[in-house]
Amino acid sequence: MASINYALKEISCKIVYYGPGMCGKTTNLQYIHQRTLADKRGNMVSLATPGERTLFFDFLPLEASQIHGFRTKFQLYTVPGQVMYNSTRKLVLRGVDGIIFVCDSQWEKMRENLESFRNLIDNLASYSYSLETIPYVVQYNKRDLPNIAPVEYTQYLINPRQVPSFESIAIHGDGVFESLNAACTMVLAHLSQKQKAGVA
Amino acid sequence: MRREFTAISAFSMLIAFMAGAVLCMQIAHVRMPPEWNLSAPVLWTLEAAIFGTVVYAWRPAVTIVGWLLGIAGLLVVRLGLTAGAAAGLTAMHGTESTLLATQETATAVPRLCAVVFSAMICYPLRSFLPERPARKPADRRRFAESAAVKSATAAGAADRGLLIVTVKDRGATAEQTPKPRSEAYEAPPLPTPEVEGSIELPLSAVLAELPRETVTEKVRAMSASQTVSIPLEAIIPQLREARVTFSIAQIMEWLPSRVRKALVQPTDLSLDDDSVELLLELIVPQLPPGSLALPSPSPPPWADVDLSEGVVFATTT
Repeated sequence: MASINYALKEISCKIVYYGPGMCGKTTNLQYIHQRTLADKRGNMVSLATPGERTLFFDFLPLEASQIHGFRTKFQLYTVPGQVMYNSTRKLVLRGVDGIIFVCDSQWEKMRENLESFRNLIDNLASYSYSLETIPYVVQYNKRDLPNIAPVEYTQYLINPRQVPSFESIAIHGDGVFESLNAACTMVLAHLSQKQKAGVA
Repeated sequence: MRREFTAISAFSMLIAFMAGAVLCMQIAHVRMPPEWNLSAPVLWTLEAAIFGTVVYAWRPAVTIVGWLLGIAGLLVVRLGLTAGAAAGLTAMHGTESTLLATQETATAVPRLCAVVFSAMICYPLRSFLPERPARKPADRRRFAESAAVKSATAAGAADRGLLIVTVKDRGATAEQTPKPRSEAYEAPPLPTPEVEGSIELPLSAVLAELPRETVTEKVRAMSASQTVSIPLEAIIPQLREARVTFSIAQIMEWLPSRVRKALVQPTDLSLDDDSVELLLELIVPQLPPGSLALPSPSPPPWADVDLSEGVVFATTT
């Protein structure tokens, strides 16, 4: 969970990119890494196969603007989307503060999107977490491909709660920072709410 | 060799054996009241019962053969201990007292002492006892059973780089269903709109999903411009699963009679059990407005923020 260091005036939060295999989670992180100022980010750690499949997870530490005098740091993680790596996905979710669920918009990936979303709910439940209490946004990725489902249908499947959602083309950067900013903003707002309620 | 059995284990077994033998030697000198002496059959039965319980306590899933082997092994060690104690007594009192020493160490108290030490000595060896194979969990994950899992596993198997990792992450496939400890997230129930009517799918697209051997050239020729009418009430409830499937028998009902008669039914095909999946991209665009209606937005409290004044990351242009 998020840590607040009052002495250093620093807040640190963990954001996880979740979604089915090959939906563009690592591409999101790579774009963020390319586009952020070098002094505001750390090195991106990526463990991938020669086929560009995430093997364990990707990690990118990032620093955002100061909020109320606090330096805000985000640790961005991706999970391996392939179904067989569930234990790794579960491990990465430990202590998560916010989630960006990346959907593959192609028709043939709709079922995988849904299964991945259900898997996310199951894995969160194993830590006694729930999407009721962890801020998340939905990103409809690969909107530039020809064989894509309408957003309405993907929303119908994945996002019936109608939490903030974004269309994206991660490889070109469209919608990448919008999703990240929304997730981070909600995480900080949620943290602030918890602080006020005396929970955190 | 099992991971649990190490050099330290072997050393501790040796120390326990020596301590056990010395203690048996000491106890053999203790004169017990005559009424405490148990007969030999009773002593052997008692020993076997203790060893049997010990083996079961160590490995509840032990096989019958493993259980008997465990008891036999403990008995051998117990005999070794009393023999060692007798040898020690003989060495101290001279060779002529061998018989006496053996008799002394075979009484109830030294034997029970040896039984306890046998269990201590053999404890590190318990991992060698064969166990019954574990049963598969009855409640298997829907996620792990899905077709996507099979296809992804197959894809992973074909990727040389992934094979290495499969070994490292082998726990993933054998994992049991996580036990939710908190109130799990529940998506709001999606309304099932009462939509009447049907959608028209190209016959060629439906035939493409049927087993190849059922569709003859004649059928293909007549499918060029024809459509199949599928009632919406059969489709809409399946949309939330991102998959629309029907049994072949049901599809047959909707096919034009001319086509249905021209299809071939192979002997190994079960019309009711075998199903076909229809393409979503043909179905969803034809749905009438309101078919994918969502309930009124009910975002959780954390979503109630102004996203326009949020976190800013310093980016390059």
